[in-house]
Amino acid sequence: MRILTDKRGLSPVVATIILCGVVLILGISAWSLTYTVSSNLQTSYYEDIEKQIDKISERFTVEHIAYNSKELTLRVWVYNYGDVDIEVIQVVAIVSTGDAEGANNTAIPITHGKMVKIEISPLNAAEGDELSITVMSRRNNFAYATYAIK
Amino acid sequence: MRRMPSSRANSGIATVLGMLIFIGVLFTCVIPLFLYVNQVNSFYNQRVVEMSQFDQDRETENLLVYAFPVGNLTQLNVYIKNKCALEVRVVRVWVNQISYNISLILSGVSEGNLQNITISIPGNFDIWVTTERGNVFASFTNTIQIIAIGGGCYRWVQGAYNFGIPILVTQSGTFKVTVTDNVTNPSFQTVVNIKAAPNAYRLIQVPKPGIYYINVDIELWQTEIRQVDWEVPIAPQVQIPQGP
Repeated sequence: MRILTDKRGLSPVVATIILCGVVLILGISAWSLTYTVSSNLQTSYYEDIEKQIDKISERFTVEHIAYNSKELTLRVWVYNYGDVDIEVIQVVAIVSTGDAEGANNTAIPITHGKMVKIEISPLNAAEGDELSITVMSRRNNFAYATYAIK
Repeated sequence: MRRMPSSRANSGIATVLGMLIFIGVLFTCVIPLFLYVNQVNSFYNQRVVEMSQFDQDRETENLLVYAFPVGNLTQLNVYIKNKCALEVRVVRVWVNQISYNISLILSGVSEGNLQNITISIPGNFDIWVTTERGNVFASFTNTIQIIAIGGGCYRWVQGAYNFGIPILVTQSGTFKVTVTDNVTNPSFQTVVNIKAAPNAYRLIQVPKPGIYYINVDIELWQTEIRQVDWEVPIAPQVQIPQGP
């Protein structure tokens, strides 16, 4: 019965249990927080890099250009020869004399390996004018071309 | 006398637990994160290298394209010579603003033909071919002009200077390049002086397809005392693929 009545040594044991409990709770919390943060970091880092990879993988070119002086329409054929799908968000044509400028700001998706015709209308250019054409993609890549109207 | 556990002993157990948790965090969160980031970076770098190689391959592509009408001039044939060592796939041929999707695979330094592309005559026709890597090559015979000569007949008007011999000089000096169609009795002869320091490029135009003889005399810069005459033997014969 003495063991039940002798309270000496109880406090250190309780203190040890409490201290260990506190360490475990704090440690597991920190562990859990670190695990969550690192998982999120991994995911966001991969997504960022994936976007960068898509950006550097984009390849497109102005394959063909034609101007119809009756319809005042410039037709630009854009070819996506890269491995990723792209979205052209702007095509701008500037006449070398600076007198005229036209743009098509419609977002146009182009799957990889495909070619799409994009029209700019109206664009008032005369025979002999040179056009500077810029194609911009959603990922901020550009393709440039020049065209002399004949 | 019994010894009571000291506070140092209590904190010792907690320290061991804390250390175990710290090591656990290190091995389950931090190190995997570093490894993952490294792996993703490697993936990115690999892609950069692949795209550089892709761009280099694209720059290497070199096709010679000759388009010419055949038969009653209502059809076009396109002769394509792949001048590079890479395999090239031609995916499209353009005739003015009309494109035709094709798939012509040309292995390194080989040739191919696209035959019987129907055209609506008379008219002027510009021909290009597009490769899978996004290069566009124009036909050397552009612009093909087909005119009506009456009686339902048509004629292919070949420009007097639709053909040319490209001369690329890769060293310094003054060069006198003579191109003739016949060594002893030439009906066509042209002389071009090229100053190269060190590289120069000229396209010497010739009137029609055929065999041409090139003679090159080279003079070094005037600072050189001795004068060197370098003559390409008459042997270099440039034959432009014959039209129809």
